[in-house]
Amino acid sequence: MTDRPDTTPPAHEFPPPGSAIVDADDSGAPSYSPGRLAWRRLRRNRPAMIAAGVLACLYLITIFGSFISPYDPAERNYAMTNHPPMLPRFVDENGKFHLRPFVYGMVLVDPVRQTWKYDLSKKYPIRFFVDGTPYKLWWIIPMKKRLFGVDPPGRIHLFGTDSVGKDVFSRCIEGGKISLSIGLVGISISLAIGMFIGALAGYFGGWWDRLIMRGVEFLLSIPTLYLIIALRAYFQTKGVLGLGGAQLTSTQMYLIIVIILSFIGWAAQARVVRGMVLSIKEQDFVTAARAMGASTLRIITLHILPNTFSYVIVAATIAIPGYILGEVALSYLGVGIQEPQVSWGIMLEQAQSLTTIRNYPWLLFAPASFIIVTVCAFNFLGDGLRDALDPKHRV
Amino acid sequence: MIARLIMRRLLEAIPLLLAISLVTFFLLFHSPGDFLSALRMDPKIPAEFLEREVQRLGLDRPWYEVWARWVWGVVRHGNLGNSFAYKIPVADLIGQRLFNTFLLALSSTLFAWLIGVPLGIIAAVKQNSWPDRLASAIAFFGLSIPAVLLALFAIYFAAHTEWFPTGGMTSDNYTQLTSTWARMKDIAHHLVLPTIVLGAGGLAIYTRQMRSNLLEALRADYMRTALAKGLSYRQAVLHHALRNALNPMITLFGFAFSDLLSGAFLVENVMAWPGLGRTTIEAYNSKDMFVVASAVMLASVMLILGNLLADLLLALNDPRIRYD
Repeated sequence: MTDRPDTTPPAHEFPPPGSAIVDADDSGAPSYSPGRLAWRRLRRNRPAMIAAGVLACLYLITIFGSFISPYDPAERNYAMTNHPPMLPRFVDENGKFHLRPFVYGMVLVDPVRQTWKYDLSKKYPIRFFVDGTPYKLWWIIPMKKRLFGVDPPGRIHLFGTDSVGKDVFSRCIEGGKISLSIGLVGISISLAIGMFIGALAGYFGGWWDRLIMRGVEFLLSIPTLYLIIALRAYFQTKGVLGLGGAQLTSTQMYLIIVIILSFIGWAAQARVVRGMVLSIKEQDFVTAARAMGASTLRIITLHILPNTFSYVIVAATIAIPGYILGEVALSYLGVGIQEPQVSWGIMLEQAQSLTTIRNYPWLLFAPASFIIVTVCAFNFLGDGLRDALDPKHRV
Repeated sequence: MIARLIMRRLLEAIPLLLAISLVTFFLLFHSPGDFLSALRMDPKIPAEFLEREVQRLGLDRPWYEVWARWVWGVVRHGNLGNSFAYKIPVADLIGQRLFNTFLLALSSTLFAWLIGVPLGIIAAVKQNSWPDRLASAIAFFGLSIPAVLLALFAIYFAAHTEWFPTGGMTSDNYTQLTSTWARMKDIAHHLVLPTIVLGAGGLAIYTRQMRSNLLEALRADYMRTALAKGLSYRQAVLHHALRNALNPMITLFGFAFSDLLSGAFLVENVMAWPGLGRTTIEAYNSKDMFVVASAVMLASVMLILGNLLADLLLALNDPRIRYD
């Protein structure tokens, strides 16, 4: 809990026996910059590095999402609805090994309850760089090639299909575009606002400081989701940046969610940045800069704010899951992303009925695992970054 | 001192609550459509009727007037206004819901504390033993699975095992249960899964924090002094280390309250628990203005009281702390 005033007295005056007073890295290597030392500590933190790798993979998959997903995420196939996930296999029913993985064809056993059975007579080998439905990579480049697929009439649904036969795997990847980007965009906006306002409040103090801190307390004293609902009601028509209208486009909806989440998120950041600025501005190098005639803007942006960066990086990493989950919550409650847009939240919303959860659990577990993996990875990376950048403050 | 703290906090809360209600009314009034939007779409409903309804509900007045009247009603008569949809006082409508949310919040807080704190203590005292590993595993899962997902997983679990109901607060035959005991048992049965789901996050945080607090306290000088005086290890831990390790936990409890209310909002909606959050979403969808405003206010009041309670507990546990 770095962002709260610590009311507990220190339990001991001296470092506890057995704990090293200085970090091994710091002792014999005075020539290394703090950044380089932090990087070395981070490199040694295995969970954090794995988490960073997982996140890099997730973002890469999302960036090349249209190419990696075998089908268009909106493509319906009423012949294969509520189809269970297909497992790529190397060994066939006779125990024979195939170098090229394949999937079995499936036959519908019970059209009412929609249960499926393997059709062992039909094998569809998985092929790479196949021609699929045309799409536009990054909304510009027209392409037909997909990373993998099977020959028609076979179809490959790694995570199964939903009630109208859309491919869940493709939808998970498409949903990542919204869910993963909303975290980055949201935290950027609230950090920018929070740092700006927090720095001004901390540096100038006085009535300006009091005004801002009252505002921050106000925002923090309304339970988050209740505030989100109230704000969401407002943004339906009015909104800022000229957004709005009776029918919201998907881009507007995305922006509104980001704006709402950042509007709430900046308060916590501003409070901590203010606290840091309060102590930093008393230090000698700030006095020195002022004595040399540096302008206020220059002092704040070049001398004070860089000293908050290590905190800010950690806070950002730890806060990102909050934005991802904020989108999930809004979409789940039906006031966020709407069809035909896809996000992990709306996929959960579509999987929430008891019938779906009972009979077609992959519709729940596929987006859920993406969310859990992402949240976990950000948490581990955040913990690692905190340990690396601030080795004294170890929980 | 305690009385002064309570007085000051309550006085501070008044402008805060006024501001919250003002902003809520502003936001609600400037959102598109109102409670009558759906009726306006219906050509069979005469315009005069709509006109009368608009006047009756006070929708033709400016928002600040509606706000002022509402605040006056609350202050003067303790009247939260009437629900448009149910045509009954809001207080009657959400009183029960508020209690349900409170019940859920209370049970999950108890769950998180009663399991998290002892688990953290065992993990710290027997560092690197299997209870310690179990504790870190629980902390890991509790922190990385968000409440919405955990709630959905719980429904999946309930649907497959049929050990617990998949949602709601009472069984269908609740009204036929005659004895109070049977009714309480029924509610308790429905309460199990939401409690675990909502408490999991807190459980993880408390376990982790308790472990690290106590580890730190165990290495403190006063522990060595206590042991040197001849206290048994158990006594030294219970009377010296534990009390110091509990302080940050109480602070944490105050901060967890906001998350608890937001978490309850989601869990109620996923698991069909008839609480304040569920009512808020229903009222939001039907533009039932006073219900939404009252719900936001009551949630804020709960948050303020929760933080006050945390501060009081902290002062009781640690005589060194002064609030002035």
